[in-house]
Amino acid sequence: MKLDKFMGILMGTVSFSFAAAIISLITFLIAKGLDSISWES
Amino acid sequence: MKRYREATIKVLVFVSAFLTTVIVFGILYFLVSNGISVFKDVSLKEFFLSSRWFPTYEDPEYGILALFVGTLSVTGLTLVFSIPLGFIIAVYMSEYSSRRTRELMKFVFELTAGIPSVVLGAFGLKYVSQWIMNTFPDVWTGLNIFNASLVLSILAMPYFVTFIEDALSSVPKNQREASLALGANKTRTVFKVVVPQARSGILNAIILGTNRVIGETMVVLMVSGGATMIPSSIFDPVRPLTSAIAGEMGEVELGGTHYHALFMIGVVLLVISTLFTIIAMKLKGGKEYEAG
Repeated sequence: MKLDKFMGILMGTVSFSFAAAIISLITFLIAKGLDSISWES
Repeated sequence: MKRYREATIKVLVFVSAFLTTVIVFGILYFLVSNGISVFKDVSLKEFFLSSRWFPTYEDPEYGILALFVGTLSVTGLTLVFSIPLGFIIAVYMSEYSSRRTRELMKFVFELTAGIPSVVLGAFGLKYVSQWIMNTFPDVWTGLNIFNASLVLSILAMPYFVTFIEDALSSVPKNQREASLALGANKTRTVFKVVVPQARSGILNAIILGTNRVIGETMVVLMVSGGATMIPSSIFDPVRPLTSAIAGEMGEVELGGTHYHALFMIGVVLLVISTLFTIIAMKLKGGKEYEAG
């Protein structure tokens, strides 16, 4: 039972870390894109 | 009236299928007929076994070994990064996560699959290369195998995760239940029952993903460094087959040896891709699951 829980947490951590990294990457790309736009006419 | 309509639909479907086949074979013929002419000026041995690819020199050389090794090294390192990670995520999604989490993860991977490769290439070019140069001070260029493999892993991950997760999900539920009923814990059930049963599906997923990595052009063109050399470390720049075609095709003399050599590289890529597809089909056609 403990092993199952450990494996679940381990794999979940890996999966969520990757998902978080991807979301960060997309946010970063969007932010950089928006940053390069001059908003004042 | 109904009979006529059905006959028309049948004819239309047949014509569409026939046209598609003709177009595919037409492309194949075009590729091979253009590529094969390179052997009028270059020997088979030089083309496949020489690592000197200098098509614009006064005395041009057309050896693709360095390009081939470039493709192999980038693909190999990408697989080292993405297969274990993809497998772990797929097992988590299929066996451990709740339905809601699975949906969330699927959404993230759909987002990842939607990132254009040129955007990822630009990210690798600007930021990953800078990070590599800062982290590993002895490295002389940030555009290398390591950089290309990291960026390609992001690109390939949705394929690996989705296909492996599909393979794991299609193992019948009663197999899991039988294992649990015999007293095995969940981890043992997953790794001793589910994964072995989905083995051919997982191998199929790996081969399809590998095919995708080998054929990827934009990322390797932008971040692999573009140096025609046989690498001695993962921080060496390389020029994979696809980037040679993409980078040089626009600048060659039509009908020249260089032009034909690039088409022959296309044939080599096609052969690799076809081999992988055949292996994948064989695996898929093999004995997969035995629903009890």
